[in-house]
Amino acid sequence: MTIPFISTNSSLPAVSATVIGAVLIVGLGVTMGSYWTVVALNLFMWIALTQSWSLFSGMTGYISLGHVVAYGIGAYLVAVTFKMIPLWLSIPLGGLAAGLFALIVAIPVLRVRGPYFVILTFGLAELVKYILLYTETTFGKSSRLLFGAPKTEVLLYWVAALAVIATLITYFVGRSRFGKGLAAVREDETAAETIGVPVTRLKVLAFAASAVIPGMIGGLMAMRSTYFDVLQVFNPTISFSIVTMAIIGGAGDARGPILGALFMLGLAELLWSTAPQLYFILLGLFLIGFVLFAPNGLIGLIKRRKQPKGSVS
Amino acid sequence: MSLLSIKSLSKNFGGLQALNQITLDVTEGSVHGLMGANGAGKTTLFSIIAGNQRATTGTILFAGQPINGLRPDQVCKRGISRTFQIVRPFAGLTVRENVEIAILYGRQTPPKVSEAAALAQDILADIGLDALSDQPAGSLTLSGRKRLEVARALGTEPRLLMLDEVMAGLTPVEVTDMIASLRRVKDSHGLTILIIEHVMSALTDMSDTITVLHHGEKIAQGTPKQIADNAAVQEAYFGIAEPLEAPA
Amino acid sequence: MESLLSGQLLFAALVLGGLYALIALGLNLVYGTMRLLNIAHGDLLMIGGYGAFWCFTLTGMSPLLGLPVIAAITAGLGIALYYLLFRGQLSSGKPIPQIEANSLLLFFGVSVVTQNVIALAFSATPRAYRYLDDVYHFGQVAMTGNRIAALAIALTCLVAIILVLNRTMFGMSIKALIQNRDAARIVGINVERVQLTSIALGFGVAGIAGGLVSMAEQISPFMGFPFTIASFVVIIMGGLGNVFGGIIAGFLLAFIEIYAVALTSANMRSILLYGIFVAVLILRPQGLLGKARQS
Ligand SMILES: Nc1ncnc2c1ncn2[C@@H]1O[C@H](COP(=O)(O)OP(=O)(O)OP(=O)(O)O)[C@@H](O)[C@H]1O
Ligand SMILES: [Mg+2]
Repeated sequence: MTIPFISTNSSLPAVSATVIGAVLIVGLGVTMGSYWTVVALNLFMWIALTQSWSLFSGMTGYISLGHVVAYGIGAYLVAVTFKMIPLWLSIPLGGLAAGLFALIVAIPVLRVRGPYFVILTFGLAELVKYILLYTETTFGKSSRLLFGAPKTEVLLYWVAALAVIATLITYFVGRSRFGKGLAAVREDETAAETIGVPVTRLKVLAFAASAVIPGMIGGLMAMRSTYFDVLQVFNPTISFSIVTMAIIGGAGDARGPILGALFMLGLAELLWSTAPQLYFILLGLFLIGFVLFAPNGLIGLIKRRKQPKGSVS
Repeated sequence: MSLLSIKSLSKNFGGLQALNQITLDVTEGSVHGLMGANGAGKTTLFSIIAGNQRATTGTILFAGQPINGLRPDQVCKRGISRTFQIVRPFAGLTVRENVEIAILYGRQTPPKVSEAAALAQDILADIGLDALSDQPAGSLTLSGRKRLEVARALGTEPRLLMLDEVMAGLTPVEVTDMIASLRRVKDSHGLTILIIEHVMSALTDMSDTITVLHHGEKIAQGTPKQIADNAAVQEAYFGIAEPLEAPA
Repeated sequence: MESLLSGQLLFAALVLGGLYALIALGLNLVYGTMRLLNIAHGDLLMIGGYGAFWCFTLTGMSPLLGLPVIAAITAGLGIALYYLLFRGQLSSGKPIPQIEANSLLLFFGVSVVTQNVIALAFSATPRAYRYLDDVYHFGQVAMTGNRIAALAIALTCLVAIILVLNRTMFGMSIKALIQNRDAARIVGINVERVQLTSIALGFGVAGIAGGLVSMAEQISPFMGFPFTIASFVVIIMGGLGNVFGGIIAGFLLAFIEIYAVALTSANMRSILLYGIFVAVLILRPQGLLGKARQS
């Protein structure tokens, strides 16, 4: 089940391939029964999360290891307002809240570079998790019951739509003025600002934008369980999975996250229910392997095969 | 009329006085040379003008407007562009993409994204890099990288182009090429150029006026002929073991 | 409030400080000499903890006697990782920021693998054993034997390592490498050997610290991360390669943690730790580098 992307300068094939691919998978998932509905849901969830991640981290090279914070904030907002405001409103609000949070922390956080940025984002996500856990337990609400959530099929439509949107955003941003500015930021911030790129503004914008869809996904996925648990929606393994998928798939190309999500989901389907630990062990080994031997991921391997003379940095 | 006007500019790095009360005017349409031994403060002066570093004291007027304290991208939009002595290509992008980004972000009225590639190709042709435009910038030779610095600076459509030793490390043939390229783009774009160069012949060849810095102080200014005859310059240069001509 | 002034908290802070100082010292050595960001450092404690646990429950032997074996195991792991993952990276001539970023990802993979291998082998259930848990009273202060032992051993290790670093040729070459790689190479230091020893020493010490922790607290496959975070806080606060600074920062963090938790509640502990971590990184963005990176 691969998605037939055609890379040409014209955007029409890419857009239609993405949409058709998504509709096919959704249709297949729904008609083949509840197990496959869940598989399709997971696939689109990971694609949406990883595409959003790569909108910021893939393009700027600032690797965020705390992307779960957006997911968790979205989930939290939707859970807290459950039955108070309708989902069609609370889910976008969840995305907005996540984006707003990213916007607020962006300036101090983005001054930190390189590996320090990586561990900082991780720590920040954990900090938010523990603060929310503390407030929830203080108010005696460490888990909220969520009865009457939409059916899995309904969630699948939403999540699939978001995955398509996230993919198209990554695809088009990569070709836009904005995307080229972000590439310059990734390559050399000093050189970029000297030729007129407003480095800070671009970084902040991309950082905030990359949190919105994960916030909405978090809100949707919170509906999958009958109760809300802070530790579950802020689980750092979500961040870890995103980064791993992006590295395995290859960042900087809208096809990378899709390949990464398919790869990881295949592994998960094989192992998750029978041997979850083995699944993580293999994931860790794959991460190591790709960092060492294929830093440009699956997409890099494919590209290299296509044009053997292409130089890889 | 002076396009760039620097008044009493100083810069300290901790205890080190890299620039001391520099006053300098660059006439519109001229080529203004900047020379001085290693560590004289030339690059620091560029960095301050371009907004990469802050002056300790002093003012900088560009086209009559103060530009002190502006961010580098703002300075660039005003029409000042610099190259880096230690080249900073976007190594992972192609040569053309390097210039495209300058075109898309550096200009006051930027063109459409779809037009940038063609514009970049023109500039690369001006500077003799058009054959390599699809190569990753990281694969260029030193001479190529120096040219790319110039092409990228030109992409921003500057009024003032500041060149920091773009001929250092080039062979004599390459230096001749570079001078010819620079003359061409200067005329076709109506540029004012501020140029740092250790290759003395190139500097006297190109410059209308030369300013000499020594240990952060301005010690002389004049036409190339006047500078060559200036006693203070002779003393500053020949008092230390610093050759006038960079080794080829 | 009177409890704040009692020796009880002071003792707790000293024990924790000794452990933090020791753990962070290992991280400091590995980062300082090779620029490797070992985000799996806390997992070495976990391994040490399991080592001590099995040593005690299977053989009935004192976990203290097992410490050398534990140190050898984690040191061996460090040497293996050095050859498998990092030697190539270090000699590839990649720029330092890239080595740092890659090492972070690689160690992240190592961390996930280690945690899950241990969970697979020994289950994810937390474990504990009782050893030296008799209570001794010194005035008002009650101390368990295992905490006294942990403090004593941690301090002994710290002193021993400082002596090695300051008094031996080999320690000098480690410090030289931390100061300046290129210069160290030029003056004829065998960089390869120093790196190998540093990673063995850093990992071994972390294993010992894990054994000490397991005597007083329960262990689980996922216990490591807070220790990793704590040791990063410590070496950022203390300054890179600054062994003394790191030791002082270790005790400082422990005092802040113990007293702040005493003033508020145990639930605040994680907020506090991560809060300090985030604040330290944001306020000192040059972070672990200590000396300014050339810009
Ligand atoms: N960021 C900095 N921090 C501290 N000192 C600096 C910094 N940048 C430059 N300097 C010092 O300021 C002085 C001037 O340096 P600058 O690079 O401006 O000299 P230059 O004239 O360009 O020399 P060269 O001909 O070698 O390029 C030197 O002594 C240099 O060491
Ligand atoms: Mg210079």
